[in-house]
Amino acid sequence: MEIVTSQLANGVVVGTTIALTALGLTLIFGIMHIVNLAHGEFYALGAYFTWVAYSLLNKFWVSAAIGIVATAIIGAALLMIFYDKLKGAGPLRWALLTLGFGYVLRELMQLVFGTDFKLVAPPLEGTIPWAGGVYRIAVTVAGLLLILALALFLKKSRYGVLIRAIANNRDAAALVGVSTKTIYTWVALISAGLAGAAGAFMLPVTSAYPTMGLEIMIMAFVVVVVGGMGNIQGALIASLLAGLAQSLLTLIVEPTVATIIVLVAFMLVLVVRREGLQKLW
Amino acid sequence: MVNALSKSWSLAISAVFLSVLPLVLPDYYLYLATELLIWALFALSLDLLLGYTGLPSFGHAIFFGIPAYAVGIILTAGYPLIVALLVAVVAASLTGLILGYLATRTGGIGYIIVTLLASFAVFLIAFSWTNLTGGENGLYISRAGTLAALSTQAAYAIVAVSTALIFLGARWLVRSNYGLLLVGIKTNETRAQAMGYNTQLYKFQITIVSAMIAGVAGVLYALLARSLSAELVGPELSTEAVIWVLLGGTQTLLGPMLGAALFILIKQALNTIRAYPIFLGLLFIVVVVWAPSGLLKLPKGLWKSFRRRNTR
Repeated sequence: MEIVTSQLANGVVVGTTIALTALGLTLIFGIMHIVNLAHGEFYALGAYFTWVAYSLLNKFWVSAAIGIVATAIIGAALLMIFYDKLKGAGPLRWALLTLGFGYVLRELMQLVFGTDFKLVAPPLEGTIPWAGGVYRIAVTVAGLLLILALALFLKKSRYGVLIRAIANNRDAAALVGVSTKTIYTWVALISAGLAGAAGAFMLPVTSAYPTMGLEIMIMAFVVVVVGGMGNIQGALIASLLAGLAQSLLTLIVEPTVATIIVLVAFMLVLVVRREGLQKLW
Repeated sequence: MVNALSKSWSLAISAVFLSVLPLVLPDYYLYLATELLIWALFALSLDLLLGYTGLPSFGHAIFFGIPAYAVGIILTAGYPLIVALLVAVVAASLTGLILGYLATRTGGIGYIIVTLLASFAVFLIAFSWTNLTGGENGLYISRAGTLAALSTQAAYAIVAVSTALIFLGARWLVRSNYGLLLVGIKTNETRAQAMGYNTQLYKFQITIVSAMIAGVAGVLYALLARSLSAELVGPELSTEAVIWVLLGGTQTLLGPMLGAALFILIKQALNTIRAYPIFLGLLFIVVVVWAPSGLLKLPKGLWKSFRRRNTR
């Protein structure tokens, strides 16, 4: 029985990670209409930057903060560098451009860090019976707090209002003097930062390796589509569902088969309900 | 340039070029040319979806790889070629039906993501179902009864004739009223619907046509290369094919075919460099940012600006 509950707890950790990554994805999609195929590499960057900072400073939470900020800056720089050139370009060109970024980033990380696993010991020791390591619980709480903070930021702050205004009607927002490019830069920073946070938090759990970004990105895309593109609440619930389903399935089948089952199940949801799950809640 | 290319004299040049190749090229290069023709055929099938109908499929490798695997699995099980080909046709139509249905369920960006995820799912299945596909080790088809058992020239001839015939068929299709309707769906689907056309039905049909052509390419590849790996259904090949089409210029049929050949040649040249995915990624970025309408249209643009300067 304990193995089931600890797998459940693990599912919540995985689900939170997917949620953080997916929220960045859905944010940039909902506001800038970009399918960011390099998003998974931002997650990997977050983990690697944190690892580098940790090996210099030996303080985990400070290193994680450095990793998140560095990822946010590099991610936003990549997304905004060709922004003017690609103005008015459809989703296809953006998808291919970010795919190109993804190739370059993944290979660079492999060249710089090698293919081995970069380990970091969890900053919090100890386990809680039936639930697993203390660190995992702390990370889940931290992740959920970040998501809450994002929701509050979007709802209450001045920038949040501007972001929602642009998402709602870009031309009208520009007409009343909102600088779309500034807002887009902020959105890109937040989006890449969320992926970086997920990567930094998962570093002590999964360690860092070059293909980690690809794996999380597939799940993130699945939950973004199923949760309703651009829908934050939907993405959150779908993430937790996907994380739990995947963790529980690994009790019965191999991890790859678990991924296949989750992928196919979520695609069947799309076939049955075109708008995903969003109107169910 | 594009108009000129679609004129009949360019067809004649292409035909002469294709028939001279086996006379002048040594065996190794002729084999390479045969492979390039197969990839060109694959690119053509994607252009029908992406270029003409505006369906940005990021999972097109599924249509290529599944029939290829079907042929490989049936041949390896010891059945004759004709059975393998029949199974491949069934497999191609089934995948076309399923993804065609998906195409009618999702639009635009959703279509990009869903097809990409589908390609990834099929890749994972091909990779982990070791008993059927050989998994990580790949699937090897024995030589007898495949194109490899023929002379290089004969294999080239079979591939070249199939490619040429399918190209002519596709050219006829896109120039017919049906082809005009496809472009109409791409440019303004709402208007096409308002005029009374069932656009979902047409999207569904063209997906199946495209799947069949990609399937022919996949089967030819299986019979020529005789070694299949999960990459043939995966997202990497799927997305690369989109770049081939873009590189050659969408909605031109011949452009994507040249784009495929050019890209594969560049890739083979870079393959020896250790970090070649970096160059691949940079190539993606360059094409998307600076040559979004294809290299074929680049000379046209240059010629226009040249003429403008001279008449001034």
